[in-house]
Amino acid sequence: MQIVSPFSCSITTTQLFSYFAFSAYQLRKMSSRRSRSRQSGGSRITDDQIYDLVSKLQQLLPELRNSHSDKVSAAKVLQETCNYIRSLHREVDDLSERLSELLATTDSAQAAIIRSLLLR
Amino acid sequence: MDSQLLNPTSLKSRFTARFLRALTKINAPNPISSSSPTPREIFQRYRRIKVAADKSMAYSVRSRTTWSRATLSRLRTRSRHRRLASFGPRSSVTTAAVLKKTSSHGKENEGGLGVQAGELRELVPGGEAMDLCNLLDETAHYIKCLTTQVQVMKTIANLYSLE
Repeated sequence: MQIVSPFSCSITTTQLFSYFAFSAYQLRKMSSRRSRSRQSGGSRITDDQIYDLVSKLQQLLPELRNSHSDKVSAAKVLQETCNYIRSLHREVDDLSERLSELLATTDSAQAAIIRSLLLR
Repeated sequence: MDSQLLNPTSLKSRFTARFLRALTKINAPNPISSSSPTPREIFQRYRRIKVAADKSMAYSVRSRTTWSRATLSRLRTRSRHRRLASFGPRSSVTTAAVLKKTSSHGKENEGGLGVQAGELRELVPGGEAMDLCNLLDETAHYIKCLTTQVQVMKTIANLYSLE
């Protein structure tokens, strides 16, 4: 596992600092991962672990929550997870757009009242 | 409608407080404009609100998860890019190259989930450098935070649109 070094000759100090910060973060992550695998008695992740995590994820998904886990394959859970995350992103976008329009048109006095109510 | 915040230190209340403060800041420089704002202004405000929502959520989670750290660093790099516009492309290329080199590690034991895991890695911030176990963990937390975000924004939008 190697760490890439930037090849650009003219490099600013901020870029250098961010590069070193990131590689320090990488080294910390690598060492923590190695120590974690030593504790679990091997470098391979067991299938049971993955199965537990996948079933935990399945409980969060609205569509697959009710069906039994043995009828739903792990691949389907991951696929549904991707679709769910995409739909959540889209909802956030729509709500941001709605909020931006509402902020433009709402009377400022009413907005102040709402804000004071919520930030109490 | 749940307007009561039961636990003052819960994720929902932390996010709500931060997001409302950000909304106040976004709305402040705009004095009462009687005429309808231009579409460009609305688009700018939409972008600012969206960034504020993601930023508020990432700050409420602090650095406890990899995805929040990735989001925060991405936000900081983007704001730095806007200030040092001439150096923007170079630093993003460096970061992307470093991430690509680390992405091959920890993916040996994925079983038959390679394709979907790759898709998931693109959706969850910081997902490229995680092995499958951590990726699934982070995804669960990320989904929980996204649903909280959607819930709070929906409530705020409903409150604003009551009049």
